[in-house]
Amino acid sequence: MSDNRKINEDEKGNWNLKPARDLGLDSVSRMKSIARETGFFGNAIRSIWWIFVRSFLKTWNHFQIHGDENLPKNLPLVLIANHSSHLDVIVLSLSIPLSQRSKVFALAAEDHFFQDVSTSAFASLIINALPMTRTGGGKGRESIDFFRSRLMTDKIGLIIFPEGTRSRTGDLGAFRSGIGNLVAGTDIPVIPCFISGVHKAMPPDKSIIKRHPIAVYIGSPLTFKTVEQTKDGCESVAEQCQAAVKQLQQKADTAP
Amino acid sequence: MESRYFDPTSALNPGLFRSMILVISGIYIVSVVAIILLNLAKKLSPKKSEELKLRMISWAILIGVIGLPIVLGAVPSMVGMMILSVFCFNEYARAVGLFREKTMVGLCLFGIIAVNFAAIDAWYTFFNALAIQIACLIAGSAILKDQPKGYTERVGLAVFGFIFFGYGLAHVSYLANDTNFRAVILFLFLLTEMNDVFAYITGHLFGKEKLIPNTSPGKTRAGAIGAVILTTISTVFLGKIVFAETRLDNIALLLPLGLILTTMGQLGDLMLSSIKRDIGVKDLGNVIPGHGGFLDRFDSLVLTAPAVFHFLNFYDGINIQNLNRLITGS
Repeated sequence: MSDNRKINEDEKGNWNLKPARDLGLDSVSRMKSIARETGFFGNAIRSIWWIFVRSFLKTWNHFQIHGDENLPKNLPLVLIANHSSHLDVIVLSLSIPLSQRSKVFALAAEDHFFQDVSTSAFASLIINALPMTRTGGGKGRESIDFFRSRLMTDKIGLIIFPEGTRSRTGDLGAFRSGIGNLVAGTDIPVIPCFISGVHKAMPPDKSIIKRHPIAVYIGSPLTFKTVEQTKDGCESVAEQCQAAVKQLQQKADTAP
Repeated sequence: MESRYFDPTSALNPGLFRSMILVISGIYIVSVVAIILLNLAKKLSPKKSEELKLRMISWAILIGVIGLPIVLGAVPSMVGMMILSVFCFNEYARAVGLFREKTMVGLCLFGIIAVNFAAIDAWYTFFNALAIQIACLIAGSAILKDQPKGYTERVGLAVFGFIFFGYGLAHVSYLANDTNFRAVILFLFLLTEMNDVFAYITGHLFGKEKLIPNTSPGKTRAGAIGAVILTTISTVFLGKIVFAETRLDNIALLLPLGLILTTMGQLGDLMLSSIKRDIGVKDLGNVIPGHGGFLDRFDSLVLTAPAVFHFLNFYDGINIQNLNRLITGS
């Protein structure tokens, strides 16, 4: 009689589902936590917000998305773009399909957005941002490593502005090498984007939105599987990313 | 429409509710005095004393938050209960990881709204039908994802969550259909929470042998026995006031009610401890300072509510036959 029953060494009756990564934190620490996972209530609030901003930008700024066929069907992904206005993060979030948006987080400067409770609440509840230290060094590196593993295990999406700050002139600046530490040696797709018109619509020193057309150009994904996670490797990733965004900028400038 | 649904002015008319308020404030003042005395006698470690202080402050707020809708009327009580139920379910879903399954969470929330609608409507058959029908809806909808891997887990967790934190807690809402609902709901909340407190105090005073060390290392046999004795006695005394001149005004019925309350209360507490141990977390949330999450506080209520509801309904009836349906009735 043939009986193929076997006992596997790795047999474990574990659940597939895991507790929320930010379980047990009080509400303020939760807002500031890099491990935050959004729940049903947060998603419901944000859906209403996204419908509102989308219709506003569509009517007021003729917001357009070009090249969204370049977006991979599934997460994880990293969206990178030039940064010249507070509108950038909204524009990039809107380029991602609504069904994925609750798992896409923007990295926002901890020193700017996560100091007091009201801005933290706005950044976390409405924008779905996670805090990122800008000082570099040990703590910055630690959180980049954390985001790297969240990209791979939690299959999240990240919105990153590798320039590190809003460009005051509207020109594309040099990219910081942090992006390299995040993706070098992995097959996480990095999608370069160029956002045009936002600097005119809402420059860094203004807090009103002027009636100026806004568009986002999405380029084809880059991967850095073969790049080593060293200083040189990371810098080359940053350069390649910057070049890809620059190329999109030229395309945007020649567009009708 | 009955004035019971929304009528804060009637809250103080029956002497019953007034005496319940007196009892609750009496217990609160006695506990505060007891803590102060223990502190003065230096019987408490600074950490414990700080924790107890935080707990008592939270209790004051909780009594206000729970008490206000009950004073306002039956419909606010039910809506308040529904909100508490949603918070409890949310905590559970985040702890077990179910919150990532949008369809499952959506259906459970739909179920919670539906059972509480049935409670407000006083439509008992619909209320009971929803238990299995929502479970069917969950099991059926989970097929559509076409991902058999993890199907049992998703459906199991969702049905568990809906039955205990939705349907189970909605029994408190349904209790609000009783003509004497204010006193009855306060009776349920008060005894459920006092049961926890009794177990905590007697456990700390006399506890040596552990009750069930793998599930909850803090629980002792003395605590469990102390809670059984003290809660049963309190049930009889409070029951004599709350159910005066009804069929339940009878020690032969109040004694078993007390035993059911304390047993189910302690089991509810241990049920949540088992879940927490299984997942490997200490607290389910950090919403109520000193207590943890909503479920850490109301875990016992999840099991006591249906038990007390059916006991009262069996012996005295919760107006089930006499009620007109509020919304769907003609």
